[in-house]
Amino acid sequence: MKKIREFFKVYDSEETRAVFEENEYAANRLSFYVILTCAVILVIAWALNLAGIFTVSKLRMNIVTASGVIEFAIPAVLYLKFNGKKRWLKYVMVIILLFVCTQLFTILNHILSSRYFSKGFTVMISTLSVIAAAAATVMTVYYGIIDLNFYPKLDPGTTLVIEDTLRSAVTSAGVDPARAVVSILVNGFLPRMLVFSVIALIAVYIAKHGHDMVLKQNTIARASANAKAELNTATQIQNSMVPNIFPAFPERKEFDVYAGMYTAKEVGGDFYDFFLIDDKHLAMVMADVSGKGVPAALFMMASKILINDRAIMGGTPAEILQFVNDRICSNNQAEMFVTVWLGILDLDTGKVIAANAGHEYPVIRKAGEKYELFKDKHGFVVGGMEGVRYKDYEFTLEKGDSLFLYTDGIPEANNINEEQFGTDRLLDALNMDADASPEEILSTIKEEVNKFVGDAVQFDDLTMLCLKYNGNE
Amino acid sequence: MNLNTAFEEKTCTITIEGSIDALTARELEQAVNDAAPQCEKMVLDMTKVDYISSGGLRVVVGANHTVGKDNLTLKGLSDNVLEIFRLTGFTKYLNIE
Repeated sequence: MKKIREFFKVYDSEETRAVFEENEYAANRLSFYVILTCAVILVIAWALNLAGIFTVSKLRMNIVTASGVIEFAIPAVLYLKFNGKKRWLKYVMVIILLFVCTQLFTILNHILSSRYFSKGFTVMISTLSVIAAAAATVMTVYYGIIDLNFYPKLDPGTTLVIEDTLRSAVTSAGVDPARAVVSILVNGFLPRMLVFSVIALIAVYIAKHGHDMVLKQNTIARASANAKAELNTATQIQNSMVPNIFPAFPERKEFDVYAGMYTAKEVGGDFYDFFLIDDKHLAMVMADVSGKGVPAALFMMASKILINDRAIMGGTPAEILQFVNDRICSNNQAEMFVTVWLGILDLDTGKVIAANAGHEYPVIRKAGEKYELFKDKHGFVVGGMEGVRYKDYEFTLEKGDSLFLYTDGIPEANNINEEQFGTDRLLDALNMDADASPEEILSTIKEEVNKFVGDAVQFDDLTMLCLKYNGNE
Repeated sequence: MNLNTAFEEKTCTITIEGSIDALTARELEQAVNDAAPQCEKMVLDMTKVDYISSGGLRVVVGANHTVGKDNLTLKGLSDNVLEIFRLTGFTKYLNIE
């Protein structure tokens, strides 16, 4: 019994159960439409016979049509009552079809049964089809149309006199009905059954294959869901690696800082960072790892930690970047690199010491003036070559001055015409309301870039940081 | 992007046409790796390159490592591309004609 149940079972986990159920409901719908179509065909045949095109006795056709319509009505009503959403409906529907569609039409049952993706069900329908076809063949001898090709050989010299129908003429020739049954079974039914068996095998194969495909699909879907879940976690880890609670230093009145990181994929290679080295020095980092996605994100994590750790130990930005560069180069198989702008702001004086390792120009705004590109000295990217030296440079932020840092995702944002956003548009956007707070500045830039990009996809990560220096009072 | 590799004695020249972005950078990396064992000096002809992404720069860094700093030459950089090389500091460390 257990084995039989196993045979009919079409799912192997709770997860796939829903998929198979849905499939069966879809198959039920197909069967329902087939039944409706058969009913229509039956009624058309009845009407044609009534019109005298077929030669079946009208009384007989009336009985057959009435009983056929009633038979079709059973599964149709059940289907409508349960809206097709019962798994047992398939037994009612496909078996009912068996009684109507024997012989050639058995193919219909096979096609429908294979659609349910259950090997057991298909085998059962095949077996029932053969039994029903055999029964129909036997009944043909007594009630149906006799195929003379399969009829027992009549004695030589036998004369058939047709008075009413061919059938009555043949049966009155004196052949034992039992012999006729055997002859028709052997000559007519047996060869047909062999063909049925081929059809049945194909149907079982289709059912099994469909079943396996659904399971395989499910495995793939689960694997991809796992990967997605892992990436989600990675996104969270990455986002939590950079300071993301604002205001970041509510107790510090000397500056106001806001930053944002918008990755093109789940994880990205851009990052910003800012942290107090000591009570009067704020470090600011803007960096962009070559490439995108998971490899860039791994490299980003290492770079971020190295820069942060080394910066806290003291030294100028150039010293810090030299150290980080040598550390990264000592073990950089993938030839990845990162562009970094690193600045250390003296919160008392507003003096900034900075070094640029192949990163975009920073943008500075003097109080009351416009945001402008600050064309600083560029060193080589970090991680590109061992032993690279970087140069520090200085500038001073006065009270009310602002500093805007960004990654190339902003100037290189493409619109559908393949035009780049560029630094000119960036400056225009910054100067739309130059007095705005860092938070407002960031949302304006994001909005302007989005507007510019329009329907084109965000291809690169977008990262920015804006700092406003309020002076030390 | 179109790539063409030509060998002349011990120098191989890879002529690049189009944009070197995150996707096409891989093809260039493949071309560099294929050519590198067969030549002592490598020239990347970028006359017809209009854009290079950081992924493309990575390939250039890789080529620099593979054939050695003195053996790699970049040729025909357009203003656009040269600006990218200048920003990233590549101009100081690579042979650019």
